[in-house]
Amino acid sequence: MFTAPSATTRSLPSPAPLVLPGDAIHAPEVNTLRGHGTRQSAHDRASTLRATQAGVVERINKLVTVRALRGRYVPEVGDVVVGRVTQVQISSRRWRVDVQARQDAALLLSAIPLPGGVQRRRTPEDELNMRAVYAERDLISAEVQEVKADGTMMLHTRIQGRLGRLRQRGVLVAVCPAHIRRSTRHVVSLGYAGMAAVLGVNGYVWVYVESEATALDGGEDEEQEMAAEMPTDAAVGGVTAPSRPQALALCRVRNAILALDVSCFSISVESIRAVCRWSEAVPPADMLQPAFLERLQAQLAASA
Amino acid sequence: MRPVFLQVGILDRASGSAYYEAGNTKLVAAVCGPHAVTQREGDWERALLEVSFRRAGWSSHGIGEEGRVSKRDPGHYGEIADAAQFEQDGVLGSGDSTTHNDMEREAGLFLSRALESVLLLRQYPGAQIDVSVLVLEEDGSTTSAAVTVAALACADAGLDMVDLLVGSTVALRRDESGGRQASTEPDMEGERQAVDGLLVLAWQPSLCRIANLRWQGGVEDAREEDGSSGVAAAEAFSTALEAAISAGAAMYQAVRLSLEEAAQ
Repeated sequence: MFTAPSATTRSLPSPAPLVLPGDAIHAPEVNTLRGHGTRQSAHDRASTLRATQAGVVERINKLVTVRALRGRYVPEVGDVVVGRVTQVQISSRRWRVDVQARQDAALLLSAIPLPGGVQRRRTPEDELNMRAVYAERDLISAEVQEVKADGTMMLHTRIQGRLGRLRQRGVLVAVCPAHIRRSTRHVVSLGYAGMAAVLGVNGYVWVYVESEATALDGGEDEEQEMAAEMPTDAAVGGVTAPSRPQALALCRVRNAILALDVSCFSISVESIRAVCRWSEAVPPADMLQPAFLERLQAQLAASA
Repeated sequence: MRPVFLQVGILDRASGSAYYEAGNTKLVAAVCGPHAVTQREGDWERALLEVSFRRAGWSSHGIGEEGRVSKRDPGHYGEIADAAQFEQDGVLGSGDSTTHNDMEREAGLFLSRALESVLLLRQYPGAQIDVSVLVLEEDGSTTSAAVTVAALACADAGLDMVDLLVGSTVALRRDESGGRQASTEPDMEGERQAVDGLLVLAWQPSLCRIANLRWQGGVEDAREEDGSSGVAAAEAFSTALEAAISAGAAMYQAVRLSLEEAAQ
């Protein structure tokens, strides 16, 4: 079917013990790396390790962390994220982008490829034309260039074609960032009804219509993470509305992603495709009903 | 002790939220953040914690009136003298403005201190965390309820906390035989009858530490003429503190249950 999620992602709301802030965590005195979500009293070396978050204890070799059940995205350099532009700050030569994190990310004017593709100094005309590049409420995909000490994220969109404004026919889905694993490819073709997606590590997923193929792909399609047709607006002139079969497929993929999120399952090409296939008997609108979700969770548990 | 109902995650838009109901005391807490700070002031090394404690104008019977607010009683709105005051206070009204606002301010400070003792604010430099508590209906033990519900909302929001917080209130009064009687989580009537002392405790249940505490000693003890007034007062205080800590432990079980249920 599809590869089981790695040990760092829970497959289901499991019977793993839940810790609350202040609970003691069993860990050997030496040989333990205390990670995120844990704390040992700074004054008392002999004190027990305690949780600072409500979540599940995870142990990977010597590292002990508490993974919070509900948490914002914590950025790392190199992450591909999807964000929505909230502000155009011409005076500071930057855009502010919402990426579901503690603070809005910053995209500097110097971090984008200029139209014309030539490397040159930014002129005052470029500053005044910032809105022509990205305006408020635009969706963009970007890569995290730098994370400052106070948590501010600096983005860049320098990779032509893969990063930049998302203008394809599609829908944005917001999920919990913990359910999307970091991997080498984030712009993926789903192999289902011509849909593709940009899986932002920050929990924003942009699902879009990749090609005209609306027929379901056969099971022989084994290429799991093909590079998708570019999601950014290079070739698309005007954006036309999706046809009805495409719109239904979009809804199905969107609801599949939401169903995976609600079930605390890892969101990847394989899992999205599997849920879409399992759900074909059910209209997309019913995919988020409790009846379907229970059957889905049972099937996920069975195949994990 | 009155049975208590706790529910976590009742507001979708807030980072974290919680609802508390015990008897006729009903509170809602909401946490927003950490988000980019709106005013630059203070220490950049830690998050700015903004605590707001408000009582809805309809929440209580008015200051100094007898009787309890029952579920069927629509209650009174805070006094709105005229249009100018309405413009200033809004529909929530103000009641007796000095007493009403003083109580809110005091409760807000109490809550703020208690939260600062558990929140690891240095994990969020340069950010701001807003915690708001709204008292929907008030029937005693409001400040301690605010502590419990605010900490629950912070845990729901996934903020780094050293420990949870539980609040408890103990009212001391004399019964017929002259002995001291402690009642935990008193309602409004119980608070009024607490002539021997009233203790409001904010308690860290796992670390067994006092986060904040407010004690109003009894009038009777102060009047003793021999040197025993100090002893009597100390006894009263320790009785109240013990009762408050055990009530806090019971409340902690309810808090754990509500968080565990929310995780399912």
